[in-house]
Amino acid sequence: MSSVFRGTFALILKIIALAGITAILVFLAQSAIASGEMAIGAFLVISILIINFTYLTKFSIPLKFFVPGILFFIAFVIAPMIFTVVMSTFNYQTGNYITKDAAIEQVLIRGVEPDANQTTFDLVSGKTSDGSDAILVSDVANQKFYLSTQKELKVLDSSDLSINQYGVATTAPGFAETPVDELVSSDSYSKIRYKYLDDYYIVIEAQGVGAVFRQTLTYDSRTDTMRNIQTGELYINNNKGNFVLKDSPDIILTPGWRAPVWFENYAKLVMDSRVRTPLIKVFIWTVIFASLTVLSTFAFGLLLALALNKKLRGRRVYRSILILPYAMPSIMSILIWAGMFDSQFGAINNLLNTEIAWFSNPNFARAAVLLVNLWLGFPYFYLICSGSLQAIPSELLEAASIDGANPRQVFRQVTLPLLLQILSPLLIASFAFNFNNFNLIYLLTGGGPRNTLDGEVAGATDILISYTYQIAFGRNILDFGLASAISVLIFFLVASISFYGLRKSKVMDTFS
Amino acid sequence: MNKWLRENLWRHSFATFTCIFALFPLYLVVLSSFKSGGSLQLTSFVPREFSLENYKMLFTSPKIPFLSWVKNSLIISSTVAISSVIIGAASAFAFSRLRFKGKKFGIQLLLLVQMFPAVLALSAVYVIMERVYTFAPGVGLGTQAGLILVYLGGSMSVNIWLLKGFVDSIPAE
Repeated sequence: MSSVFRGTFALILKIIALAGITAILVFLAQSAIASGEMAIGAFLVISILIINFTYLTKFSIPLKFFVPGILFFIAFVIAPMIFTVVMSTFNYQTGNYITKDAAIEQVLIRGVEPDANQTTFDLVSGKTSDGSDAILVSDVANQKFYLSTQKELKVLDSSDLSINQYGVATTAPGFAETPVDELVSSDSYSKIRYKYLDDYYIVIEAQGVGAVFRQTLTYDSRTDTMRNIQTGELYINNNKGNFVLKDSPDIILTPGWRAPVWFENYAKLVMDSRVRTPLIKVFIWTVIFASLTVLSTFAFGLLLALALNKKLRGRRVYRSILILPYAMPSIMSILIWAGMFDSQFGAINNLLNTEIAWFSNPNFARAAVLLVNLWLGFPYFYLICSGSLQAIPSELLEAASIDGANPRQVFRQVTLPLLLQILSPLLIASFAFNFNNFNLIYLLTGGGPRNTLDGEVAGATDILISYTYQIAFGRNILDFGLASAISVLIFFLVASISFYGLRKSKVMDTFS
Repeated sequence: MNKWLRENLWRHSFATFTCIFALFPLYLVVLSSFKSGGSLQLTSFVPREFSLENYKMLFTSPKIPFLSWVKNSLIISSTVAISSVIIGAASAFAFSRLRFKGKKFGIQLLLLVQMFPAVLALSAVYVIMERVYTFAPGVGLGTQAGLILVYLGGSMSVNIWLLKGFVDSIPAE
């Protein structure tokens, strides 16, 4: 290397760059910790330490090359993975979305009941002379008037009040009305509980109207239970993110919170037939889809490569046209195909002069998916195969034909086995890719057709990954926990398939 | 002549058939781009009308800020491309040329994490960026900088793999 990279100039440059990056990261870390994002803050602090340690000492030279890559890798690849695995051990779903403290708060807010007559009162909101929020309540039917704050309820004498034509008190001594604008602009007034008789209280329901409620549920943090004050019913923490009635655990208080359920999501995959049956169905289709895709694209590509594996007029033109599907962004092509399969105006029905509802019939939808994937995939295998065909030593083929084999025999006995051996890692990689080919399924059929009226989540063309997406985001009930468990499962499946492929390719490395 | 036919006819016809198959959707798109009217509907496979209406709309309609899309794409893709090549190449170089402990493990890890379904890690990335947004709105959710960061990080393992292959193929001298 030239001396520019080694001199004092370079050193100064290095220190300036390092200081700049450290400054930015320190700023980010400080604001992260200030707003309570401890995990992110900790990651940033560790990054700062690692970066400065690596570039200021001679601890490890390889590390100097790695640090930026590794940090990005951890932040956006490893961290989401860990997050997903952690999520899979939680009951992270609709109804169990918030933290426990927030859930207790919500349960308590909902744990109230109106009094027997569902009484409502006309009232005026304001402040007492010592500045605390108060309401002037008029019980028009009984001709009673109260001044109520959060702490006390005062019975007023009607002679002290000015009462309007409807019998509603508007002013009282020691009470100042709050302007309407202020009431409207803040929603905190509707959350205040003003005292009423016994353990009842009044909440402002609308402008000038209050309703009588009392608290029924109380939380006991010592035993971690909820108790109904009136009936004495006890709700216990079921350790799965909900309070349930002690004697009949099916009765739960909503909302729940996200609680660790450990392997329950995984157990559901095996034990719960509502989850297991569609999962098996989807898994079978995933395997069929991936294998048929690999088979069809490979066969088509190979045939094409064989056809053009000879000096032919116009071969270049053919080639440049044939790789077009591969060169186009696949998301766009899939959307185009989706338009072409439209049952009313689509080009396919137009061309075939048919009126097939491609995406409403399970088998037609599957055929469409396979056809589109063939279109997307064959150029890749055409390129690979034609390259590999040229790599097969021509002496081998000549020797075979001298031995009296006809071209078909040569192909079957010599070319194909050799090709398969060369290409098996790529075939396996293609299988693994299509196993998780989310874009195709999601954009073409959306996994459908599925019978949503029956609450069916798995559609006829859903593969594991799109099915998981459906579970996580696609329905009214979002179940991140279960979806994460399935994605961990997919990860192991695909990883073992690919690991098998790697092993195969290593075996070949030792041969050559 | 007969021999030529026997040897080459199937090749030409198969190649031609495949070319039609490959071009068909693209042809439709080009065809409908020159048609007036909105959707990818087809009444005939032969061009009957020629209108530049759609193209005019692309560049002039205020509802379709096509040029700003192009600008965004250019900014994001070029930033990501340049930085990921620099960062990735450094790591790839180390993997390819330097000797150190845990090299094999590192390479295998890079390969392994690529098997994780990216679509689902996406929700986790979303949550992370949402939290970043709470303290650093400039690089959090919904910003170009945030998108660039996610692109950079997400493609890191693939990039290192690809670049490692290139560095491997360069002679050490």
